[in-house]
Amino acid sequence: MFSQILLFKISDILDYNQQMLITLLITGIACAILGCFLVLRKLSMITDALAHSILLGIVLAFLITKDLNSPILFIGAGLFGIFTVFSIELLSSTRLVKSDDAVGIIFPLFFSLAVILISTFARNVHLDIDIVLMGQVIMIPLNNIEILGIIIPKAMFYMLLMLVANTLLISIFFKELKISTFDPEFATIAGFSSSLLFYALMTLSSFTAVSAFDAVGAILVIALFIGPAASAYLLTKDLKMMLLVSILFSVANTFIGFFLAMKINVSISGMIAAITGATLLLTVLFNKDGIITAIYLRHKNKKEFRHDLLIMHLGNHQTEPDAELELGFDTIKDHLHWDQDAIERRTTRLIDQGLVFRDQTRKIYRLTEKGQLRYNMIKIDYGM
Amino acid sequence: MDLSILTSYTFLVVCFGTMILASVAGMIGAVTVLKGQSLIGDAIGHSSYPGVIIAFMIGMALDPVLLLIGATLSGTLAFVLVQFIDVNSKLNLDAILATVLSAFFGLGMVLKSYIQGHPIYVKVPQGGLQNYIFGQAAFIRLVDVQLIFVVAIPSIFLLILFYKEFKLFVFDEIYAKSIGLSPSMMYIIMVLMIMGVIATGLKFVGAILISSFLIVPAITAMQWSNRFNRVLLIAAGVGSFSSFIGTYLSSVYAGMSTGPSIILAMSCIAFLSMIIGPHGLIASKIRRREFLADN
Repeated sequence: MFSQILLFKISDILDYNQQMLITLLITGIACAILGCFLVLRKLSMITDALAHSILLGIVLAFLITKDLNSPILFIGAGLFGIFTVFSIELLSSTRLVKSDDAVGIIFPLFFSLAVILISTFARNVHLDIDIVLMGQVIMIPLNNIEILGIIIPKAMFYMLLMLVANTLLISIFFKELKISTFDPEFATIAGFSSSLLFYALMTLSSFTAVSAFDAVGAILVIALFIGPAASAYLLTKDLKMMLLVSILFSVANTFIGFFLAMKINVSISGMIAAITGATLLLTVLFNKDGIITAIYLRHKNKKEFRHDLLIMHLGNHQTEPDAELELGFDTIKDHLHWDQDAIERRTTRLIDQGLVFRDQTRKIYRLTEKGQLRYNMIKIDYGM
Repeated sequence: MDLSILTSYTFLVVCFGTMILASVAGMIGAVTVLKGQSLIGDAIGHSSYPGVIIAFMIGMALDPVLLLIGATLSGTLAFVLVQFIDVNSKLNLDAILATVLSAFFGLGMVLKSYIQGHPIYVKVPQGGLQNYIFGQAAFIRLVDVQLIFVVAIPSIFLLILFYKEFKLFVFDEIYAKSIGLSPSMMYIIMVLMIMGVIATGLKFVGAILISSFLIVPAITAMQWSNRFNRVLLIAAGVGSFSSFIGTYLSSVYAGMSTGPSIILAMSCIAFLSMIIGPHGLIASKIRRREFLADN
């Protein structure tokens, strides 16, 4: 009776869609902050391996516990993820294969075993491979557990737990993580174990992937880990900023993906993954060093150079005796080799800026006083 | 042991198909693995999925040829995108691969869920689409095997035709470039061959696991030889032998999908080779012992 009164339901304050959205947002942020370190350490494809192989962990744990909601399932699968990373590391340390190849051989094996086990032993159970790959965002609010008198969707609870754990690891060991990420040799000299931090990072990645798995599926886990971090990496030069920007990206991707998917009634996790890819592509195109930015800057520089050229031409000739010929309204185009349109456009622009004026008595373009100053500046700039 | 299955028509068709596919994949995979591009296949494999769905939406049927074209196009688009981002940003290749593969597969999921709920497509049977994720031997038709031939034979032909060029390209790209071989041309041929294997193999092995057809036999072969021609041949042999075992297992035991069974067989051979091969764990242990005894 007493516990009945204390019972607090998340569903009292959040409606169905809000519960889904907030769970997705928490998942995205928990993944993105770890993802930053994974991207910087060139471990992105490890998440691919993790996402596929923890399925085997889940199946094995399930075959032992026979209960899909058991916490042992969560722990077993998480430990199996660490085992996967360990196997990959072990395999590449034998130098028989390269580390990329080790990823490529370990996860298909584990995934194949999982698929076979599911279809032979766990057929009648609610352990659909489709759901594992694609998740069931729509089911999040239906699957509740009671924690300390609060009834909360299971996925939301686990993701909150992982968000707290990830945030704690990153904030407590920020300096160590930073040094071992950017300068592993120095980290070893400085006296802390890089491999311990590596496995700490991998442990959290594995458990985060396992918890996210249930709600959003294996494929979105990869997108959530790597996409926002990769976009943030292109935009920032500072680790703290990168963490912050990756969170912003993750939130934006989730919002856009969620509402778009709801609107046209399609797979939510698929849509978020696709949007994540799209925002990365946009970031690649439009960032400071991006290709579109480069084209724009080239165009802008060209324009500026032509304006400078016009000012130089005016400055060089306006005191000379041939000024009427060189700078005349109708003749200037022959000396600059521009067409009349371009002349009109560029002089108008400079007249608007107050650098040039039309000398109606001599029928030539001339520099104003401000233009004269600019002319001297340009001469210094170009070293003349 | 049920040996009567070995003579059944369905088994022979599927087995023949997967064996050809795996031996071609093994050879082409050896080129990509030696080139250090092993995970490209993984990304292309996942990325071919939306193409399959779009081809289904356009054709309104599970037409193998149309689906093959769809898979090829979206896989190629993904590859081009990966290369584009790689050239135009400072991102690492593996971060690009991870994002592109999940984005494409996510798009596939979106399209799949769209046609599931859409009244126009409800009437068209979609059961077969599921097989493009994991592969299912039971759904293999003769036309699928014929498609393997149509795609695999030109791929092998390309490999034989450009054998010398590939050898140079794999081991010494700079020298290859200096004698007038264009690396981008070689990359295009390589990707064409990878695409061929992936697109035809989807129905047998599925989008997620097809990449191991490229990687695992190649790695196995590299445990046994350092010579390019031998690696190619061993990879082909390992691929087709594993396919035979895997297809047999999947035909005998219900629930064992073809793809995962073949990969299980491949991986066992690979790990065995790493242990007993001439560069393997046992050999190096013996060598170390001999070295210590001599000193």
